[in-house]
Amino acid sequence: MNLENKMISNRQSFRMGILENITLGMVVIPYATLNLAGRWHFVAFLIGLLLGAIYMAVIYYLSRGISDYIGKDKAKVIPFGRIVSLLYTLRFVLRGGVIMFFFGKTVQEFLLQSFNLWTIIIIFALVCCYGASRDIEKRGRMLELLFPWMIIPIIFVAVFSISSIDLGELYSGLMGENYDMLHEGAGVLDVVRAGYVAFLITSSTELMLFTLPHQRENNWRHELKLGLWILISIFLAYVFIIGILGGHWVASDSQAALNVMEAAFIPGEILERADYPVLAFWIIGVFAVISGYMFYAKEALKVVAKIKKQGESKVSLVVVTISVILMSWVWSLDEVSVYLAQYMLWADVAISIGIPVVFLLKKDGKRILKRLALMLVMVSTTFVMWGCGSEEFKPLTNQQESVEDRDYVTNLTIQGDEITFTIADIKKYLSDATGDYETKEEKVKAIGLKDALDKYYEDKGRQLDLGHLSGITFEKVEKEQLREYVLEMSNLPSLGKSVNVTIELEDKKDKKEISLRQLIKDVYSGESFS
Amino acid sequence: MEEQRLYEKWFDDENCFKVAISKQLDINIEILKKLFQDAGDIVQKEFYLRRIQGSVRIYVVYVDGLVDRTVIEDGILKPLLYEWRLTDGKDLMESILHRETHTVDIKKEKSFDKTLLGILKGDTAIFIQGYDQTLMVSTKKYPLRSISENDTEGGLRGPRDSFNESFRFSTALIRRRIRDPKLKVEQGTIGQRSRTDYGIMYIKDLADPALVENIKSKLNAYDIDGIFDSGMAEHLMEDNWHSIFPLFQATTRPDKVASGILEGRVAVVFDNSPEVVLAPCNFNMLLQASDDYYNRWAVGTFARIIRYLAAFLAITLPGFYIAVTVFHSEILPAKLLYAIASARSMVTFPIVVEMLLMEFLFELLREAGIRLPGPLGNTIGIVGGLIVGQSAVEAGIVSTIVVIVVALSAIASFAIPNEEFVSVYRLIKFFIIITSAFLGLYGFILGLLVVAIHLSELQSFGVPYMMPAVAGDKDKAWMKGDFVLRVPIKKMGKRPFWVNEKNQERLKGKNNESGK
Repeated sequence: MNLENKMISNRQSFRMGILENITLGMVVIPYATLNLAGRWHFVAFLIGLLLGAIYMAVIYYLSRGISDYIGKDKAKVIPFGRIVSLLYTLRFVLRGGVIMFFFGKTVQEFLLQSFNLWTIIIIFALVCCYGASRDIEKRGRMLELLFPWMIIPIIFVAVFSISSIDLGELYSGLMGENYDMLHEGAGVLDVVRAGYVAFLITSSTELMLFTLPHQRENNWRHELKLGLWILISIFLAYVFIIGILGGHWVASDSQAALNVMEAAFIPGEILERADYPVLAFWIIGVFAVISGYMFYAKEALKVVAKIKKQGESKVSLVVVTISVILMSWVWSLDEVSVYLAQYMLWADVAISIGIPVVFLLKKDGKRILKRLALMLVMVSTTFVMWGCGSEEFKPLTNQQESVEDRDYVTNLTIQGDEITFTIADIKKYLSDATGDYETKEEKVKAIGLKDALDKYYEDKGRQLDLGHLSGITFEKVEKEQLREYVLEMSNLPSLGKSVNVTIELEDKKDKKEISLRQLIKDVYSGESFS
Repeated sequence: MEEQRLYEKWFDDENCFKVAISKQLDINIEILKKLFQDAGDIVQKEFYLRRIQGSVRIYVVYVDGLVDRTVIEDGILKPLLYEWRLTDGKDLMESILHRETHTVDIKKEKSFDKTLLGILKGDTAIFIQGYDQTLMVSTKKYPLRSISENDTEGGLRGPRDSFNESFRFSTALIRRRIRDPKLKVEQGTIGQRSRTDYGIMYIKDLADPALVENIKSKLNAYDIDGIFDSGMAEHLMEDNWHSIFPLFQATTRPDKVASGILEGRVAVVFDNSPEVVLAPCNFNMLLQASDDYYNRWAVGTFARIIRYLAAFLAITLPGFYIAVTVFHSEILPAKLLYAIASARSMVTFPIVVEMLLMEFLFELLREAGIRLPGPLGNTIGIVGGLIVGQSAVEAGIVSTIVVIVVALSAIASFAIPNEEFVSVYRLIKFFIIITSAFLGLYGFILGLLVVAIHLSELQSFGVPYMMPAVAGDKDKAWMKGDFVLRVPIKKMGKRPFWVNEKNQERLKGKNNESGK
């Protein structure tokens, strides 16, 4: 009685827009611009934002033009032809698949190293499928509800990590002063290309083409506000990432931006690390994007198969979900993903504008679907079984022990090829009520940190935990060896980057103290340790 | 077999008595005797009324135990048999109806079915020779517990009375609070055999007529043998029967119901049920307590913040503990982690099993505590909580930290003011434990996500369940001032959006001051 079917409010539309459009941009754009444009990254970033703003304006214009044909009157998202709808289905599945694959890799690396990638992807796809099964009105409500779940933790982290921003580094970083060695010789074309790539990352704003016609009140001020907030959020994230991590690190690792959350200092030390919970809540944003693509792919597929009944609509969603899972696997294949990337780079956005424009200029099989769903289930099962054996999908580690089966390293000393772990003696901690604990030392000979962790696990049957290190000491190590260790440490999410490091190079007598974060930044920027 | 044949002859498919009242008293008596054969609690007696014209036979029927005998003897039989003896008795039915009895609540009844229903409800039926109607005298006096202090939804401030099992007492407690002639009580019966009374209560110019009609149609949508509590009817009326969340607000507090009715909501009162249900209902309402409004706004707001936090902890704490200790111990401060690890080193089971064991033990104690009589229930709490808990820790079955986590989560759930809602939280807690046990923080957040998706699709009679968090528009978000933040009463000037548009305002200042 109180519902206006198939319509969403401006607030719901705003929240949907923010969740669907900032989640990826905040994390990926800094890497893309720094990696491709080097010292001119900020120019590329601004070009990307400008292109993104223009794209949003075009999408807004197009959505108004075709609003009578989408949602309101006919309750169909894509009414202009089954072929076009099929194209949209494929495009959205492709986009959903690529995000799903890279998201799965990120979760595997940061949260679930001992898990097979398939497990992560399939479970997430099922949740997205559940989220995409609602109509637009319930989807609006759902994202309106979820909006603070992601935004509030991010705001908290931003507030608590503000003290970690190095203003000098930020200024020189934005000006590109220290980034000469990054992508040396980047020309104008490279900068434009980097800007274009940055824009492509924001191109999920295309979803507004289908959302805006469902908005109860269409007014340009609202859309302007939405666009501005998307751009401002991405800009602020950019500033935080460059200011805290520095450009060299971000440019070298596509997932480095996620380390920015680790810099947050939680008052009272209730939590040692804020990045894990925030990363978990960031998942909600990814859910919004992927479930969005799945939702619109489902709607498009319904037009393709002329589906009206609810039961058949569910089948179309199953088809879309399986297709997205399969597509994420396809993206892992180098030989195919090269072509897909080219398509995404040069054709996809053009199509997203081209089809509605052509439509504006013109302006004037269900059993098969079930069989298709069945076939897809069989094909996907085969691929999943195959994928389980693929290196790309294997767990990163087989170590996942419970708290009592770990040894907690409090200090790490690296001396040549010998690594000494200073470990908290938990058993003595239990018997002593003072709250202090004694330590013991374990030495391992290894070629690297990960090798040392594996050897210790094989030898003792206990997992070494580096999450609570209070210090790292490099004693008499060579520069190259130090660099390799630091690079390895930068890729260990469990290792806090605020740990103090003491360095004593082989050819030096004096010691240097520095935080691991700064050391990583220095290593990536090629700074010498003299 | 003969009885079965008679029943088939007398009752229709909907269990209504289809025989008409006969002018010949003997026929009626024969029917009643056969119908109530072997029903020892039915009292039936024939009397002779001496009038000038001669003797007239009457037949009185009632159910022993459901009636007030004083009313029958002093209000009906004594005047009929003695006080009006040898008076003019030309139209005896009219005479009895208007003059001869000492009771106001007496009426004529043409239908045998309604007469029987009245008798079974505690009325006394008088059959008179020569009339094809009966006189029904309201003589109900049920064996009831008195109105007692509310022990399930208590508060520090505000009224302490609560509904009991009497339908009439319940409506009276509401009527006592809303003396508005526009407060309607549309009565009916539900249950083919139980014939349970129900009343739909609403204020005519506040409640949406479509909502009232919707509730009525849902109540009449099923033929069921019996309804013994509002909970059964509630489940029949729900659209989303598969959801674990309650879509009605059930309460034993008359002030809560009265306040709900003034918000344009509709209350349904059922006989034999001390819980009155209110619709529409949402998540926020189920976390509100009556004394939020009776205390100062800041205190009320603080209590609500605590309650929301408690609700969050109640479902997430055990799952989060598992996720952190098994998968992401980096989150915990070093000393806390060492304490957990050292406590865990004495325990034989994995963390998940340990947690599930402890939760199971707690649920067991809870269930046993409910089933046992009061003092014994308390003993179970002490035995379970102190002795078994302590022994389990000493035996290395569970660690002290897990006992703390389970206890904290249980205490947090007790802060939720609606018992039905607490049960839902318990189920979700287990769901989150399982997802976290499999996938750590990833599973934890996906579990919460699934719950959130489900919540955002739920509606209670057309009102989104997550209002006002999903209010959509600002004008529908009136409850923003009545959400986690409880604004001062002076600022709660508007009724919810589902109330008739003409009556949106509920607070007006008399001296140029108006509520917003």
